[in-house]
Amino acid sequence: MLTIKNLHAGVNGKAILNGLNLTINPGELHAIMGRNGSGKSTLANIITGRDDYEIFSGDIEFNGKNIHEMSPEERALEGIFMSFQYPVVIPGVNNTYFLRAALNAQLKHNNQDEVNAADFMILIREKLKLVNMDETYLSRAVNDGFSGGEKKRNEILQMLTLQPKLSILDETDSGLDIDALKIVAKGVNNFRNANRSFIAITHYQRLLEYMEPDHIHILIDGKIVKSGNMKLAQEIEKKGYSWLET
Amino acid sequence: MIHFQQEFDRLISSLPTEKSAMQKLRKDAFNDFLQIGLPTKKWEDWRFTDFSSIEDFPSKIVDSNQRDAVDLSLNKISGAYHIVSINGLFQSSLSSLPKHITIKTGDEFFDSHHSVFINNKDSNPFEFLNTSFMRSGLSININENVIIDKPIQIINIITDSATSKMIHPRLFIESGKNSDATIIEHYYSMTDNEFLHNPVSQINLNKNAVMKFVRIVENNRQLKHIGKSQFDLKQDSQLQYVSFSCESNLIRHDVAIDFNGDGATASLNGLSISENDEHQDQNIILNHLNNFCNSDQSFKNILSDSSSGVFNGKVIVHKGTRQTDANQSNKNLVLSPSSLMNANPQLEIYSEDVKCSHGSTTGQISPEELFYLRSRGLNKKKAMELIVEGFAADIIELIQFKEAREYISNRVSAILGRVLA
Repeated sequence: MLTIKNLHAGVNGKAILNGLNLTINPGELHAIMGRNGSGKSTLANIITGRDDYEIFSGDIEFNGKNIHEMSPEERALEGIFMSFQYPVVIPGVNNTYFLRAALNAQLKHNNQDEVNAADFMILIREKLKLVNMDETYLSRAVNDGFSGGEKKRNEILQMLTLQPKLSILDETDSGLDIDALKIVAKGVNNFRNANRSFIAITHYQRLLEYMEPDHIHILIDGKIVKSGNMKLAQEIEKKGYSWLET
Repeated sequence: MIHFQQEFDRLISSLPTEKSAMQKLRKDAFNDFLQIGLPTKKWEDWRFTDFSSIEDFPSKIVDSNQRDAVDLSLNKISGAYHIVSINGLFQSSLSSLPKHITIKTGDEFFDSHHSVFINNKDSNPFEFLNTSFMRSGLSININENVIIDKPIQIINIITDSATSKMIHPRLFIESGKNSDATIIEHYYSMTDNEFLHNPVSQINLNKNAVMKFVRIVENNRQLKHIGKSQFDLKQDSQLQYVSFSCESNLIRHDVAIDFNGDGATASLNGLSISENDEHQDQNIILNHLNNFCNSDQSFKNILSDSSSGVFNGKVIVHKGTRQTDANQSNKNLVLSPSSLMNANPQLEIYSEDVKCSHGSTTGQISPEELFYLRSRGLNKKKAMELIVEGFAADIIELIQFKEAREYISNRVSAILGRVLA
């Protein structure tokens, strides 16, 4: 689904990723762990096409298409989604209106019929239950006045609604108490199937205990220095990252 | 100024039967206007707006008798009563009036409300100009102890297609004790020609009266709209005011609120959208003259192209007053590097028992907000529309009357559709 080859990339001209390779197949959940500044969020921003982030060399292919020249919205319409580390507050923009507009952009791109307001309400009410959010959400502005936990659950709600092929969870566990973390993990786990892939970016193994990744990669200085399974995450939890540094 | 003088002489000689008191009122006002002159860059509260185009304006009074076919479907807000005025003349056949109000126009209005016309406390030159040239005017008296069941939309339409005309609408509203009403003061042009619009409104809220007030100026790219609204709030009265202005070459609007009784509250809000080289100047003065009064202000500007805007807001808390709570906020969204905003929020506090806040921000569309929406699949234009509409929504949502809210929302969407194209 996603193939990254020898990626050198950074922000505002500064190199952060230094020859990163990663292949993600349909149905897989890959965890990327690393210290602050190791390049985890840069990787997420590069894949989703944020302004100011640029690819110096290397390739990113998504379902066989090179995505370098695609705008953020084109990537989203192709099926790439990011759950933001810091979800953005957009005052005055209603959640329901925004999410229906986003879903309809997706449906239109896939040559499917757009969903009308009434049908969307039925759909969104179902999804709200999955992340334990109440209906007051529907009349509020995007992330406006949301607690940290509500913001993260809103990201998952958007993921469940837009049904992306590849979901990047950028520190979705940060700032969550254990109950909220369980809700978020449950939302993700129920959404997993053989066709959907995930990248979970995290500092800690805590999130991974609830999500069971297929692969774990350790990122240091913009490169994957070691890959493995849950045992690797447990080792990191005990020993930290320094033993992996060269 | 010579144009104004010539036109004034012509007006006076065309009204030989007008009562001498009325003629004196006009002449005194015109003399005051000539003495003060038009605002210059040296006038503190006027300095960000250039009035030189008024100086040279070859003004002729609008032809009130001109009655082109008027398509009211363009501007009538459904679910309201309508008071229609075309080229400055009240049209009873096009109007629908509620019970419990009395309206007067022409001599009947001038005779019964003489004091209203000599009330120009701040010596506003454009109020003097209005008093010199006003024609029929409109006064509305709302009875005591009544709730007007539907909003009243006052539609001022210009159809005069001749160029360089001017009009001086005068509105007076006396809202009776314990009354409750919604008023929409609406200025709408059906001509695209250069026009000078010079309305003056005075609205008095008596004890415990509630008024929801909406003011709309739109639809003439050559319009120069220089208006003044004065609100006097008696004890425990409540004013909720929302203005919306767009599509005009030059707008200067002075709003003055006097808290003339204890416990009065005012919520004052405005949304201005400017395009091309348009200029909009909002000048707000709140006089907290009594105790336990609250005021809440929120004014927003959206500026595109090479347009410019001014927000000059002053809250004065007078000596000896107690427990004033005054908040003032001004936020501006600049969509183009060549647009310009001057914001000047001011507090003057001469009392110790107050709670006041004020703030002003001017910025562009946040790249973080834009990326967030685009990362969900919305294209850049749609994402920008959502963000700017969201910025405007805070103000529009304060309008309680749904149809007026929708009317303005639709206008905003149409404007943003072309501004963000």
